[in-house]
Amino acid sequence: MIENTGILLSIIMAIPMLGVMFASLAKDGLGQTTKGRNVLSVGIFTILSNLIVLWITARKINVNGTNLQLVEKFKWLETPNIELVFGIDFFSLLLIAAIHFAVLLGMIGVRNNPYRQKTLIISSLLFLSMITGYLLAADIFSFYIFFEATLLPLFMLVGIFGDIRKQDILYRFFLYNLLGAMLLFTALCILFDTENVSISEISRVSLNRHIEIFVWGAIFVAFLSRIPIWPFHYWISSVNVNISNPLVFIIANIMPLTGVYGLIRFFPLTAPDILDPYLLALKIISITTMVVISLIGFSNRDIQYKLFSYMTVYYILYLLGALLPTDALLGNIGFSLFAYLIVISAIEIMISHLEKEKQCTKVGDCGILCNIKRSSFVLSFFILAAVGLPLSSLFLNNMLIFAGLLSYNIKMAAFILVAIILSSISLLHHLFYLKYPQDDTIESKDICVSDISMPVFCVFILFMLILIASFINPLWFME
Amino acid sequence: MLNDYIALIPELILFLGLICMRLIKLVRKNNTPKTFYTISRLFLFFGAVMTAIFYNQNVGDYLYNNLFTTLFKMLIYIFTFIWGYLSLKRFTSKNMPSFTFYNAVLFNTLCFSVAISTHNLLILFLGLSLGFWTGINLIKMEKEPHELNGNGVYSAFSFLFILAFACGVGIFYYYTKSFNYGAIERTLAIKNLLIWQYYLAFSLIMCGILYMMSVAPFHFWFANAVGNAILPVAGYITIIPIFAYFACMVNVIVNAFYPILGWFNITFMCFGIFSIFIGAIGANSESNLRKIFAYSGLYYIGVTILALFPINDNNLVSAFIYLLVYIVAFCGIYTIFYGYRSRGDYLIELDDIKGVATQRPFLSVALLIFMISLIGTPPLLGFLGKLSVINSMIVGKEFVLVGAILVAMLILVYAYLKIITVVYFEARNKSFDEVDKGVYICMLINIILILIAIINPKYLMHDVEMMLVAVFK
Amino acid sequence: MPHYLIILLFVGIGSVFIPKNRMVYWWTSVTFFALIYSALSLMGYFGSSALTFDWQAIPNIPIAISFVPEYFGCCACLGVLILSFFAVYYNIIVKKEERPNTINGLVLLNCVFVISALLSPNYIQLLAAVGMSDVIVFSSINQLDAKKQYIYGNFFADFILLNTFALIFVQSDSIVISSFGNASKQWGHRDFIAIMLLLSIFIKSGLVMFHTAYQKMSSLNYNRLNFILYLTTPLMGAVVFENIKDIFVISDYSYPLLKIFSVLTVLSAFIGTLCVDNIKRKAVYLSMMFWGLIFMGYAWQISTFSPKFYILLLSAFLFNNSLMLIYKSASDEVLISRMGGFLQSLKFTFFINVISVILYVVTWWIYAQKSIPYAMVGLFVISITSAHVFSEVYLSQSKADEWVLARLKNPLFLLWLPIVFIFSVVLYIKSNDWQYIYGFAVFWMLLFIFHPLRKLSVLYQYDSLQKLDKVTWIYNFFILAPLRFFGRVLRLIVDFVFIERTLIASIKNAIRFAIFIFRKLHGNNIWGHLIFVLLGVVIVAIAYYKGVMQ
Repeated sequence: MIENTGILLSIIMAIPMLGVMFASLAKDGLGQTTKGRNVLSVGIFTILSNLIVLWITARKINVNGTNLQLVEKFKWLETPNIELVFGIDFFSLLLIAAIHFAVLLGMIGVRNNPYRQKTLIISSLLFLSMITGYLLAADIFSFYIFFEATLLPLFMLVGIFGDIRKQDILYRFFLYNLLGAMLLFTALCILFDTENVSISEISRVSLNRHIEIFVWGAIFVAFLSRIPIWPFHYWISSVNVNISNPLVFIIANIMPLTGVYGLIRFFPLTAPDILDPYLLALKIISITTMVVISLIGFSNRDIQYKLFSYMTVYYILYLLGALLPTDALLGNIGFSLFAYLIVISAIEIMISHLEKEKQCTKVGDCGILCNIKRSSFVLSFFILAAVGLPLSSLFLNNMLIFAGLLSYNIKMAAFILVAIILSSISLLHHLFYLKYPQDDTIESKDICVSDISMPVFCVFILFMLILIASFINPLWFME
Repeated sequence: MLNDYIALIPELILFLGLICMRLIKLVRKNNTPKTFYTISRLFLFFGAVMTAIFYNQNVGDYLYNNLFTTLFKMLIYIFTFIWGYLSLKRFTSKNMPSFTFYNAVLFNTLCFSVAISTHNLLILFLGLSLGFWTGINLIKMEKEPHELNGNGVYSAFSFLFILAFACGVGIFYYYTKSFNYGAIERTLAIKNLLIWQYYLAFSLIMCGILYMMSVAPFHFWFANAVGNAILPVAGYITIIPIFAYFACMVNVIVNAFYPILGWFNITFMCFGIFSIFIGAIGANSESNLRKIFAYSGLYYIGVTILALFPINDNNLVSAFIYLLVYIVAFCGIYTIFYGYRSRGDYLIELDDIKGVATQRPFLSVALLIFMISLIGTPPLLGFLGKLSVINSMIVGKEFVLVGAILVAMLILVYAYLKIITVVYFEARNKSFDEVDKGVYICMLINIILILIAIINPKYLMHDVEMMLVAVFK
Repeated sequence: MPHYLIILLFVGIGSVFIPKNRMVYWWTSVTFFALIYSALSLMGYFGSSALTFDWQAIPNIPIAISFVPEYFGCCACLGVLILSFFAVYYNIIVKKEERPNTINGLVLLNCVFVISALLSPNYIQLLAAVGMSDVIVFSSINQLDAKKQYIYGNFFADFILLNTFALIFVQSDSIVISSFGNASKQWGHRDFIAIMLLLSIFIKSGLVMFHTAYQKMSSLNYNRLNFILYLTTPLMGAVVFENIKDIFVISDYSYPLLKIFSVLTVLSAFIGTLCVDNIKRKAVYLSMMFWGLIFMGYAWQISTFSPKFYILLLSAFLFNNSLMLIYKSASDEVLISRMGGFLQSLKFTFFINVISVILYVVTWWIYAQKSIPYAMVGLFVISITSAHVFSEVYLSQSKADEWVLARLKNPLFLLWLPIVFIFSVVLYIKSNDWQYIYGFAVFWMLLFIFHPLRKLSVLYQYDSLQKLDKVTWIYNFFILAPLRFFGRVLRLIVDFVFIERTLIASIKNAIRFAIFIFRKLHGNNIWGHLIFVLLGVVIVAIAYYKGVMQ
């Protein structure tokens, strides 16, 4: 790690917390002056401020550096001797920026939704702060602290803005995640008590074989608990697909990223023998999950499920890409994830808009886009980008990830590719469903719904430009 | 001569307070609930100050004060002080007499203070038994006989266990001719002279203390007692006595029974495991808020017991940290119970607080923070407790216990989730009363404590360790 | 990036995004200017060597891209530009589009990406260009089924292409196409690579089994349809093939597969052209036949991607546009079965049609003359189909509406001018071969007059045959339906039966049972308490026995 005494990372983590403070003090009434968007403005301002700080950070770090940079250390406990360490590399910077963009899009998506907006924004900013801390964590304890701390804001958001009828599933979802967090905690305590090492050096710690099996098993289970992995995907899928609030949906679907990121950080480049059975199991489970979820998404009529299946398949793709015995792909995964998070957030915002508009028309959502050109254009663009056409950094960077997987095991890669094709076609299929009325009795003029407003359209155009810029040069913001 | 007894000043002040309170009750006719609170506050304050001043003064062979005892006594003073203040809100709002409560509180403080410091089995027995019995009797406060369903049974069992405690003390006196810890320890240290009666007496004393702590399987009285009692009493018996029982148990074990402790560790482990599972399942089986937290308290007591044994300085620190963290959170939760009122009634059923977050958001956020702290989720103080306990168990290679704690925690969290659901996710079906500012102040102090302590816990951990290890000297 | 491409790109984007499609003629002029300027700029590159630029699309891989062509590339780009010019021209002249600026813009953008693909020295540039072109075409199609099938197919093709190149990349560790050479023989999965690449190319070019998307486009406006059929994705398929053709030697399956598909494509397009009633569908089949013939050339390694190809492509494009003249003259009537006997009224149109056929055949001959059998096959199918179609239209008994008959008139000269112009140019070039052209004209006229396949017109009556779409049915029945079925079954089995009914139900029941026991023991009865006390005593006793007695 390259040591530095800056405070940029602390600022990045603190800004959302400051946002939480300001948001909790802001009035959220539906007054004339604020139009009920006071808290929302605080949220948006917070994210924009943090994006500026992130940009400054990006200018300060070495893009090609493999070590963590701008390291900040805090002595937390003496007995046991725990030091919290934060650092950043280009991969985590990309993820943090993408999450900020995604949450920003989510906030734009809820601008007209006054229902408990204060709670929504506060919890979202809290989540943002926690996940930012998670992505900056460089030692095992801060890693765990933020890993578990992301759970609560998510639970609150899903509980308040999700489907109240599925509380039982929500409990399971939380407990399942908590179980993972507890296992991680135990594993980390064992590691810590044996030797206090940084995350990247965990595989170096020599443990009793049984304990080592447990420790790695716990780490795997902990991170996999965040990803809707088969056969436990049901809880996460049931919770996620019933969220109508776009910001909450986006946040809920950022959660698997914590699992993927955790495994990326923990998994050693040269895996010890002890990991072989876990890796094998992980691969089998991952591929089964991809195929099963993509098939279910393909046969499901609910666009939220389709989107969920698409996201899951891609998350697992990134995970498998990251677990290959090379770190050359990490940058590509970062660039791809950057575009991916923006794309899915934008799609979700549009879907949520259409879902709301659907309530206003009696003809359902089939062909709902046919008279709203802006929405149609935006959704088409993002879905085409999502399926991998050359509109974002997904396109070429995914190619390299596929290359890695194909070179590793072509049969495994074939299954992965089938799953990706299925989930992408599901999205495309729904795009057509939304674009064209299929019932001959319905005239397109009968479908009278509101389009997105011009300012929002401009925001989407801005994000499209960002995506295209990321395709032309993923380091667009550095030059 | 006087110097030998100077350390008794705090206890003497409390005793004076009791007399003063009694006199005022007899003499003054127009007493308000605040009158007795003011008296108890005054004497508690001075008692605390004197305790701090004479933190290392002894009274012959009877009372040994050191950092360990002072720590627990001060905690009892502080929490009693806070709880006394909050309880006043209840007595004032209902305009009910407060003498019984504050008198008992003062008396209990006196008993616990003596019991913590003592190195004499008889005084220990008297201090704890009287304190416990006073608590049991407090449950009847403001209750009609028909409302005290099952109380007789608990009283009978309580009497039985106090009797067992007394028998244990008696057996030791019979064979060692002394109540002094040191003398008993010296006797027990000679392995050739160990007879089964010592083991029996030790078991009886431990069972007595564990019963008072309501450790499973001797827990059956606690939840119903807390559920039936009025809020000040329920809060008091949940929060304060546990410090005294814990301190006394550690003190007596370390200074008197240490030579024969080994064989009993497995009992502690079994009791601990029972407690965590019964606590977790019990919390899920209830719809009464206080009972839910009473059972969850059982879980925390269980973890504390598991962490404490086999006793050593590391385990003591981790068990204490865990205990402190959970009591702080419980104190916060009971403070919130003072805020959950509708039409003047304190709400105790889950269904009563549906959607309260929409009308009382700050209270509900506080409840959430305390529950999250109890779960041990970072970055709240509860995490520190969890860290210290799990870490100490892992150091001791007790992986099975860690597994049991985590599984039981998952079951317990399910109960917490139900509370969060009711408070946040369900629609409100009633209007909630305005909350007293005092409740907010106490709650805020508690939250700040939870937040600040976690940001920089090294001082807390370091100083606490230094104070706790004094018991071994 | 060279300025000619930048101009094309920006004019294209500008045309697409002009609000409410204002200033049509002004923007069209700009479009023409951009195309002409680009053509002139390209001519300026003749003789110069290819220049490369660094592209930072993937930071860890240096990508050298090229937009400045060598001699052959220059010809190819000019061909594409000329074709784009005619596409824009017809778009403006026909006046069928609501938003002509948008189509013009899409033509320009497509032109940029086709040129990029043509000039790509590496497959990253190729892939990006192919993908972008798909987006353009996707935006151009305004018919649901066609759009759907197009994007499904081409997404699949792009995905295969991407992954096959990924597989190549990991083996060759190079993205430069010219570096494949002999090294490709050492690769693993050679058959797989070749088959996947071919599959992708077949889908793009709309060869048999992958042609339904183009068939569904028959409801598009004629000029838009022709633009898509000749200037976009099918051409991209051929461009991809041409770029990577050296790879196909790695597998013994490549050329047999290519032969089978190309022959089947020509055959099915031939039959389709003869059997379908709709003139636009005939146009689609004719384009399919064209691409089939081109791929036949590749299969037998006869033809190359020379400048002749672009002349042929332009002729085929104009031939298809000559069919549009009939359609326009007959008041937008699309069914051949409702035409017939138009010769009386549309002599000039017939003349234009004939010269378009001659143009097509002559350019075909120029292209395919290296192999006489190959050239004869093309000659045969083009002659038969064109003669058959024109006989149906001009000679057979009239079945047209009176209204249509009354309104028959030769089309505006601007519509046939390009055909005559190009015909003149080609004849001027081939002025030494007049005797062959006469010979062919006589042969064709005989076919036209005698109309040997006239019996086939009876097929127009069979509605089921006209709407027959077995390929879509096969996809639906053998691929989509089983996938949906498996999806639902999996959901039922995994989500409900296994997770909900088995796993969760077991845990729930266990906890319920524990709570039941708990409540029984904690009721207000003394026995429960006694049990607990006894339990405590037993534990202590066991501990004593274990710890002290033993």
